[in-house]
Amino acid sequence: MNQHTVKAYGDELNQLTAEVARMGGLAEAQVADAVDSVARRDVALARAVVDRDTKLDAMHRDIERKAIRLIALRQPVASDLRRALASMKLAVDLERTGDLAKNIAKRGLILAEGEPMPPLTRSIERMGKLVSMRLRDVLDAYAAAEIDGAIAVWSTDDEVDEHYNALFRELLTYMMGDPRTITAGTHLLFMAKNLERIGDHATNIAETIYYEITGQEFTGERPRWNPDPTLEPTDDTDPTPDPTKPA
Amino acid sequence: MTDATVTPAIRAERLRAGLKRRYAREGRFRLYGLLAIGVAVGFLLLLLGRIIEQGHTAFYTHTVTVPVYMDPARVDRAYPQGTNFELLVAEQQLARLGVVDDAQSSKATEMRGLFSSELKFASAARIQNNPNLIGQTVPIAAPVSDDADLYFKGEVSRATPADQRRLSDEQIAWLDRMKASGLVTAHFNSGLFTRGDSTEPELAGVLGAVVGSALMLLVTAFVAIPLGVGAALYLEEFAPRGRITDLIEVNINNLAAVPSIIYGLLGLALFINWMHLPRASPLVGGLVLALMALPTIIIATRSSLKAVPPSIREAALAMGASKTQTVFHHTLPLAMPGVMTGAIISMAHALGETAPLLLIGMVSFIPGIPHSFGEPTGALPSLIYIWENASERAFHERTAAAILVLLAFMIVMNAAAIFLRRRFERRW
Amino acid sequence: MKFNIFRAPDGVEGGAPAGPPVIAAPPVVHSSGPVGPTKIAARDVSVFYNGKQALYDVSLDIPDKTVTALIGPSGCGKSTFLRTMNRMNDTIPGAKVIGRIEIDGEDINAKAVDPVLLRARVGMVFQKPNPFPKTIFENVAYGPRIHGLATSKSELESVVEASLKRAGLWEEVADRLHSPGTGLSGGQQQRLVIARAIAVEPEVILMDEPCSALDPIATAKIEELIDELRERYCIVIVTHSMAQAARVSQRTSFFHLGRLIETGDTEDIFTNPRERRTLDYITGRFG
Repeated sequence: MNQHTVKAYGDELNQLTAEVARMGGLAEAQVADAVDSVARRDVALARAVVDRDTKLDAMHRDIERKAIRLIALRQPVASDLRRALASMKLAVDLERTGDLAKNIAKRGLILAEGEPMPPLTRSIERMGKLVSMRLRDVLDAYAAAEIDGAIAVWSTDDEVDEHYNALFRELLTYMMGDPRTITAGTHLLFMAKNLERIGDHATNIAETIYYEITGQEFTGERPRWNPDPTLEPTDDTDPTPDPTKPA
Repeated sequence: MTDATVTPAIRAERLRAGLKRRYAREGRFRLYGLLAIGVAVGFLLLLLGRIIEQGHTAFYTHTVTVPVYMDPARVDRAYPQGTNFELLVAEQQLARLGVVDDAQSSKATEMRGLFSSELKFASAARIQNNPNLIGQTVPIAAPVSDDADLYFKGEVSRATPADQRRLSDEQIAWLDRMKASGLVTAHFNSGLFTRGDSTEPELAGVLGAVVGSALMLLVTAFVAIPLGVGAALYLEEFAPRGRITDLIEVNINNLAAVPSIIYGLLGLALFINWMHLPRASPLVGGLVLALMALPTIIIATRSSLKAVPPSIREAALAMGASKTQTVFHHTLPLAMPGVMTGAIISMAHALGETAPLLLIGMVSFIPGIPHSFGEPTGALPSLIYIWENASERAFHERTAAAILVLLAFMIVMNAAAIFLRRRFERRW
Repeated sequence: MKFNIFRAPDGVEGGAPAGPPVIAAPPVVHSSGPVGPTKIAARDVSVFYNGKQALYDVSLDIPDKTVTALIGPSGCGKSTFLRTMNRMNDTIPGAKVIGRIEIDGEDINAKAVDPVLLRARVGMVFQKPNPFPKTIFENVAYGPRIHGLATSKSELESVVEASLKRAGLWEEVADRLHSPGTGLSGGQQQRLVIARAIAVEPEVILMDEPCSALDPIATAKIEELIDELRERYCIVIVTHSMAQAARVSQRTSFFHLGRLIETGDTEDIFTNPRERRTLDYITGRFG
């Protein structure tokens, strides 16, 4: 694609994308560090994660301001407009991801004061690594501006749900077995929920990337893993075709 | 208005009927235009046709080549001009034709009437150049007299009674014999363009008048164009808008419509009576015509200046050009085509003006070719006037020929104006 | 904490509809003074055309090395104000300018100031491209020539080349410098006119709707050129396209019916103007 005739315009767009990528890198690091701090009961790391969250908030505000400015002053259309809007949406998702990571770290601080629970924290760690990887993959797709990576991430949303449901049952069993572990178990439950939410945000980001690049909305039912209909009912009424499922 | 009554069908019908009326009107209008043009062209062709019919014969003339025996008894070596060559040639020609003269030499007189006075001047000039020719027979060529010329052109015929003719039967017979023996040749009348005015039609030419007109036009151009363009520039670009400027503008417009004879009166009073400039000179004529041409030039220049788009002026001013620089670097060059056209058209106009010239005295007979701006000269229009009033019949055709020369001048000048305009017209 | 940038400006008539309370917003960033040192300072400038007032007491600071846009509906006086800055109103009979306009601190309407010299410091570009009907070279060389800025032929040639390069036109016309300037396309002609203006090394360039006669591609090229030029010159541009003002300028001033209504940073004017009339104009709510 050609350069913008007015170079400053092209520069501003690129700057916006770069900032989002930077924010994504920071968010990714926050998630990885938060999970790490829980697994290793590393108090200093957890505190660092909590403190760094303000930076993410600042970046979010900055990106939003820049995008508004770009839209007001440059009147972007078509792909440029989608780029500006996408950057705003991504900033929201990444900021929420950061908040969730901060929450995990906070709860990790509390857990670190009590007894270690290796099998459970290992499960959290496993789930955390999956979520982290998905986040990294989708941000790579954003930086490279290619939709295949995004679609891949979008389609594997069910894996995260799988982990979540397994963890859920494991924790319930644990807590039902030993009431002294209820406090810790509840914290771990919330952590698992946070990780699942981070996974959803990664999927949101994938959808936004798809829209930005193709200009078409990502239709289709998000894949949900659901072995037990009584736990989370799914909605099968959406008839639009899913691009990832074979016809 | 009720739309119900005007259905699409009725509307279509009305449109169609209206269309027919409009086309009919347009057709009539076009017809009127064509008729008007036809009438104008018709009159133009009529006029030109008449003039050409009258004048075309003036463009060729007859020359007779007579062998002249330079009788040493009669030709004075020291003073050839004193010799009566006319009588000499007439007697010799009579002898050649075998005609016996009477005591009053009336036949010789009649024979002399067939030759122009050029003959004697040419003979004297030959002897002066080469006195050794005395005693020899020298062929001298000279134009025939105007009556003989008219006869050869068919204007004089035997049919009219002898006392109403300019040539007697005998003279006509002599002419026929001379023509038959090859002494007379017809050729292009270059003399019309190389000689000055003369009382003898066969020797008369327009050169003197043409040079006189040219000298006058030079004076007019050098006076009127700088003054006119300068005045227009000042009025259009520099003068403050106000009552005085408006007054001047109105007066200039009126001056353009003043009859030209008034300018003649003005010239008479101002240049001749008060400033004592030489009468009938190209100087005075040029000045009078300059006064006449000034309003036209000023008006044409002003409208050309007005036509220059203000964006060019603004651009120049915004660049930091002063008012004068803007005018001379940009406005005037862009207005040039219009200015030149106006100048040339007004010159062409001035060329043809007769009334003022009559009043300043350019109406008298002036032979010879003028050499300076201060000597009395003639001009083409006044020459035409003089020739028209002359009594000799041969001047008839020459007047028409002079008119054609004047028209040719006009056409050339107008063509030059158009050419120059096209060439220098710039797009902005 | 999020701030709601979409809140309505103060003084909304009729009152806000009842509903959940608006989250308390942080104070709107008001436009502070102009960026950078002031190049042109106008104080209480009024202009009369044959007794009829066209501009009412305009006071405005225009910073150097920035693009300031003057926007407003037709007939609001923005072009009139622009023309006061190079005294082009002097050329209109019946025009009278009162008030003080200073460039670098000196009053340009003072008796001692020669408008011819002023216009060598303050160049102007017009709405319809108006190159002189001369060659491209002659067009650009005219200014330096009449002001005596180039003393030799080679100096003149280098000035012409530098100006054409800076106007982004050199590559396109280097091989035909002696062909007529009027033979170029509209966008090229406008760039030629800009080259002509900058050939005298002005300090200020005034532009009166320079792109309104051009197609979008030519307009984009001119806007990019303006972006480059603002590093060297103080540029004031009058435009009836708000989008263009938003794209091209750093400071914007809104005029209406001969008065200056609001002035500020372009970003602030176009995201959150202070005055109701400004908001109405830029959002297209004007009558």
